[in-house]
Amino acid sequence: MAKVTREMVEKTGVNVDQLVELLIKNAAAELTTFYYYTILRVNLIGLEGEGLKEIAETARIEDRNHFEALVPRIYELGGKLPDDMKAFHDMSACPPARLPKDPTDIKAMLTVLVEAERCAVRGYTHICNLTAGKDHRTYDLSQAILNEEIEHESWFSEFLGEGPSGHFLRRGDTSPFVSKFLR
Amino acid sequence: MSRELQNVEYRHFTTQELNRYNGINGAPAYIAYKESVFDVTGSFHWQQGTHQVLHQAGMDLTECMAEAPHGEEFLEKFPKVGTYRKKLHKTGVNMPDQGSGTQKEHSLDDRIRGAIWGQFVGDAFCLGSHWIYDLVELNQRFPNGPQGFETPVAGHYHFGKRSGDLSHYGDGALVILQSLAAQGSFDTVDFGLRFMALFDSPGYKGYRDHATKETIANFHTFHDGNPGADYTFQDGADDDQPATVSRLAPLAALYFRSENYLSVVERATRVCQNNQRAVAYALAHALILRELFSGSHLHDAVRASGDIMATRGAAGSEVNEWINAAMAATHLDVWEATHQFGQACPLKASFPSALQCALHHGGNFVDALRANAAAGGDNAGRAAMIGAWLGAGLGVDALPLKWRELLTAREEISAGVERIAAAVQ
Ligand SMILES: [Fe+2]
Ligand SMILES: [Fe+2]
Repeated sequence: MAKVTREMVEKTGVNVDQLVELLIKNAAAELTTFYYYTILRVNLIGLEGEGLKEIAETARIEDRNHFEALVPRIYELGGKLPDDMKAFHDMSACPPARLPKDPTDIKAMLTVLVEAERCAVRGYTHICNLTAGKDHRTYDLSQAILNEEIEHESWFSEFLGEGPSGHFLRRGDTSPFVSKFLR
Repeated sequence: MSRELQNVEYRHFTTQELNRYNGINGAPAYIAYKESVFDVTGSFHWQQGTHQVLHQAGMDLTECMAEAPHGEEFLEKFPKVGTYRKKLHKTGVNMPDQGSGTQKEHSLDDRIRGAIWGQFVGDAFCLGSHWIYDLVELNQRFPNGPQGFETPVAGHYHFGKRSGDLSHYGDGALVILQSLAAQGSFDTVDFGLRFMALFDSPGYKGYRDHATKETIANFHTFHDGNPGADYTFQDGADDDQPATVSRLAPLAALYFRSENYLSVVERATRVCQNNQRAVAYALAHALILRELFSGSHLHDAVRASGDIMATRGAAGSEVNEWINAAMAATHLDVWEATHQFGQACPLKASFPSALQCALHHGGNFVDALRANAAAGGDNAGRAAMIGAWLGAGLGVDALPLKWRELLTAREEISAGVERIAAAVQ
């Protein structure tokens, strides 16, 4: 734990224990999404599925990055990951992004993907709201993650026919916002 | 804890009740939002009754929504299980509702429907558990307490009737409701003749209590001695049990604003109960209903009734004393108070027992009926009064719709309620 770091946040009135719990729950959501997206990506095949495979993969890798980026902040603030990974899975801030019964139903696949991203957008917006002007480092981190979650949502929602969002699929690099926390 | 909280009907929640649905240790998770209560038990986002670390089930979260990263549309997918209202304190500070229920906001129409339906639902609720005095026996037959609308078993007073049927009290109540609906006013002879047509018929398979049997006997005695003469139907039984008080709600609705209200109540009582004490309790019951229809809080309505009864002779004073006793006993459990006042039919027992239950569970129709049924004895007679009072106080929506639909006579009752409600407007 970084003692003064925690003290500084506490002094702003943020309930650090609650904040840490939120960060752990969101870290759980990232790692479990990484896992479930692996299965979704594997099943994104055929004429329609193949077109989604690449963005699903990018979103998957970035979610793993989000997990990696969150972990140091959890420990800095005095928190820790649960010893039991099953417990970690079950405390996720978002429901499991399970493979639909019919994986060839592309709309069902997209709905799972977009719902997962929307849950994440809400979660990081919430953490940004709680920390803005108070816990600068957690704000910076969650704001970086939020930027990427918003892009994930927009990719999938475009495929669902919800209209254009103006984003390009990133080529080559992943996590343009979060990468500074990964170095 | 969780077991007693299961299978809740759509109803009004007090703060205390809402708090128990906190999702902890297997309890269901309910949250209140803008006066509605939602069941979020099954939600992934409400495991252990906690949502995003910060929010706890069992609470009113209306004010949290402004800061939530989602809108109220998220609540739409959850079942709505009831209503909730924070009491607004005079200073503007929200005070928890202590089970009194706020009453002013219900329209008269709402209260009239509540009173009449409440009276019938209360009666039918107790059909299968009626007149069991021994609480050990009651407990053996209904291990979780009577849940209401049980079919009477062989050997029971109401054996032959089925779940949803009315007791003999309710049968009498339907007679007066139909008489009032047909006449548009209270006509002693019309009610009396309808009463005879039902209860004096060999086809009537329900129970005939003392008031009924003696009323029928007095009718025949008169006609045998005065062939061809008109009978005024003012010579009912010398009986002081819950006959009239179990059927008064529609008459009260039609007459509570009339100058002749109390004399009409007295005439209605003497049809089957030509007894001073029965008249006094019927008047007290009618006065409580009048106050409730006028928008008073139950507690104030009961006090006002007692104050008026205190000025009405010996029988009135007795009623006032029992009203005082009931008001002083609201802290007791219902079974305990019922045991003290008496579980039996006579009104000096059943009236204060019913009052205590209504005051104790003033904000919750369902809890009141359950507690009263579990107290045994003449629970049906008491339930008709409790149902009428709480229905009048809390409005018809405080009664589970399912319970009204369960009534075998729902269509007849509904037709009567509509006529009365239309006549009062
Ligand atoms: Fe993510
Ligand atoms: Fe994502």
